Amino acid sequence: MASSSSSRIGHRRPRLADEQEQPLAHVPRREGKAELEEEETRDWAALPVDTLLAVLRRLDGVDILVGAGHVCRPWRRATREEPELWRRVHMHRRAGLAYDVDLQSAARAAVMRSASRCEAFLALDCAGARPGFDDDFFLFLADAAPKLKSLRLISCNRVFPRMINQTITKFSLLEELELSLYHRGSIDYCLIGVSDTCPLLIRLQLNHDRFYYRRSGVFMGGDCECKCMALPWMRKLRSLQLFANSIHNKELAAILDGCRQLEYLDIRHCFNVSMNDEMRDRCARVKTVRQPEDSMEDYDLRYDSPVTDCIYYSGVMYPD
Amino acid sequence: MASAGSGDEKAAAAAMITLISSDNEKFEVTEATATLSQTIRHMIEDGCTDGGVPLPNVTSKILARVIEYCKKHATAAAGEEGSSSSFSDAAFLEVDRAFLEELEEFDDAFLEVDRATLFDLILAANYLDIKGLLNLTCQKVADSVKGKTPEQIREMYNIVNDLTPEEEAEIRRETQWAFE
Repeated sequence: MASSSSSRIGHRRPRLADEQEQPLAHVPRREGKAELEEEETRDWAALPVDTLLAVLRRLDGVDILVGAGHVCRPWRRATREEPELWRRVHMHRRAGLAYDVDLQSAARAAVMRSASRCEAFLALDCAGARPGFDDDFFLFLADAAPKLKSLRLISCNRVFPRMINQTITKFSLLEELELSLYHRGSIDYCLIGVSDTCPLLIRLQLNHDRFYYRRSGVFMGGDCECKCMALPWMRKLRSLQLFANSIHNKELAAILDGCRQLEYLDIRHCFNVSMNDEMRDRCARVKTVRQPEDSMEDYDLRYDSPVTDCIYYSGVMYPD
Repeated sequence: MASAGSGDEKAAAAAMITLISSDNEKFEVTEATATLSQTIRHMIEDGCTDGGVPLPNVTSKILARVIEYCKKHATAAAGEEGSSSSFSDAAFLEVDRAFLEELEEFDDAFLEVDRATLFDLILAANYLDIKGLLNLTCQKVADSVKGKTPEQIREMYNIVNDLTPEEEAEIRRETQWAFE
């Protein structure tokens, strides 16, 4: 018993392969031994460029910038001379890499390679040991990625509201905007300018990490809540996600009245909203509504359970 | 080997296409299997498949594998189209899910090949324009290099580092933000 289990641990892969040989008889193994031993080689450096790009497109920007892009000259050339490869730049910290990176610098390098053709940028700043995305980066992005259609900043709390407020207007082609897990200040203030300059915006995500019950009239530090008072620019929205937002029925009603094209509305954990008959009626027009109490199963971002006033006053926490 | 298509005689009524590998081996397959390849589909549409389709870029060894893939996936496509109404929706979904799982298992097993075969499969999928197979094989390579250093990738794929010292220096300058 003991020996068999220890050998399984010691030689995990070969053991598994042996065990499965019978049931997986249809698995095509090379018939002749000779073929196996020959171990033919192929010149992977000479992979045709279009197929190499098909591989590279499936990698993260960081993987290319630090790994695949420096393997040999042909691979390097493909990653440097193909702006299309950088149309989508996603930057987030991953586990299990052979290296650590300063994400902000990596993002800069990636966006530079897009040669102004970057259309989708996502930064998920996990605030590790390295400095995260800040004002300077945001300013750089506005200049270097003027064709951005999708801008998603998650947990990028080193970018200040003033910078977003002043710079967001440069992204005139935006169709999708996310500013989630942001608690630097008023999101409404951040997005004032969007009104005139992002006429194409159809998808907006402003998600908090947890809902706070507040007694009305009690000031709890920085006002980082988005009231979304049905600003004019929201009229064309088709998809709106406001996780754990503090809006009440009055504000939600204004949103629903203003955004006549809304097809998707996610107000999970917006516990100030009461789904009464009137609200249900208003929501009936929207194809998909995720209600405050709905299941969180398909929610991607991190979140916590709601905090009530009493817990707050006992001094547990409040996001800075 | 040439019996690749003889198993499913039920398809006798369906049009059969003969594919000829670079080493002159003939494979008879149904049109449904063959047309997973856009390249062959176009040839059929242009009516130039009489007397067989020569595929000078694909060896018999690889073509056999490609056909194996296409057969499986053509069956999948046929299953989706020929949905009989005798099943209730739920039962049908169940069958569907089971079949998708089986297909996934097939794909996983299909990818259990050495790197040379993987390379040849990629080229064949590219030449024959078989989207699913190209996705599958390219994803396999991508997954294997994810998070790896250049040196690790070179070792894995037997690639010689032909970067000049100047280029190496440039790379170091460019990636000062990466730390091993």
